[in-house]
Amino acid sequence: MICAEPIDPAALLARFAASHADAGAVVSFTGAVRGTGGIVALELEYHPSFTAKVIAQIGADAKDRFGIEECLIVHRVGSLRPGEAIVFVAAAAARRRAAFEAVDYAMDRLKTEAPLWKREVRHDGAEWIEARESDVADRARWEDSNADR
Amino acid sequence: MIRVQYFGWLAEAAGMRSEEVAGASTVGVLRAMLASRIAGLGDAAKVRALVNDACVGEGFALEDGVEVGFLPPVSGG
Repeated sequence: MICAEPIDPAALLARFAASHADAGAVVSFTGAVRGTGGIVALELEYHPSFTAKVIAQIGADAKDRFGIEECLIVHRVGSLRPGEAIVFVAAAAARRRAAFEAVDYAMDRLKTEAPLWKREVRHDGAEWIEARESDVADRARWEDSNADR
Repeated sequence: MIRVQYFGWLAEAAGMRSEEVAGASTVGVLRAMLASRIAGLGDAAKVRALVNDACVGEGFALEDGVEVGFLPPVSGG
């Protein structure tokens, strides 16, 4: 899901874990706006309908591929300050390996496929960001591995 | 008329977030019409065309009243 207001990763994790109290493994990742590099704000533009659809599909794909209970994705949009959480991903599974991989996989897909556009705002101007080559390489990892886990 | 929407840096390159365009029978024709004044739009490999929340190819036929979104390379996550 996407959210235009600040998100609280700790609260999201607590709620997620509570709703999967019987799962043997819960893994989460939080991505935040870096505090270094002179960034005043990070702006995240989104598509009014396509973005939520793609993010939901990524979560569903992660759930199916790794056979887990749920993969939750919460992504901020709008204007963010340094230190604020950009994205929260959590997975609940019977065992840890599937949970770790689901979160890793979901982040790699988000980085390369989610219809979101970042703009870094600094004191002397703003710059649109592009996905890094390392993001593309990370995404490609999942094409080589055995999908039938 | 076709309603065109620009996302990310394309909106800056276009100088607007959306506009109405006439006379484009396919996505490819639409793109060619706009590419001459919007830097970067012409690269179909990098800038995707979106109709009804689905990416479409250059041969996709456009009907009157349809909305087409042009999406540059993404940077979320």
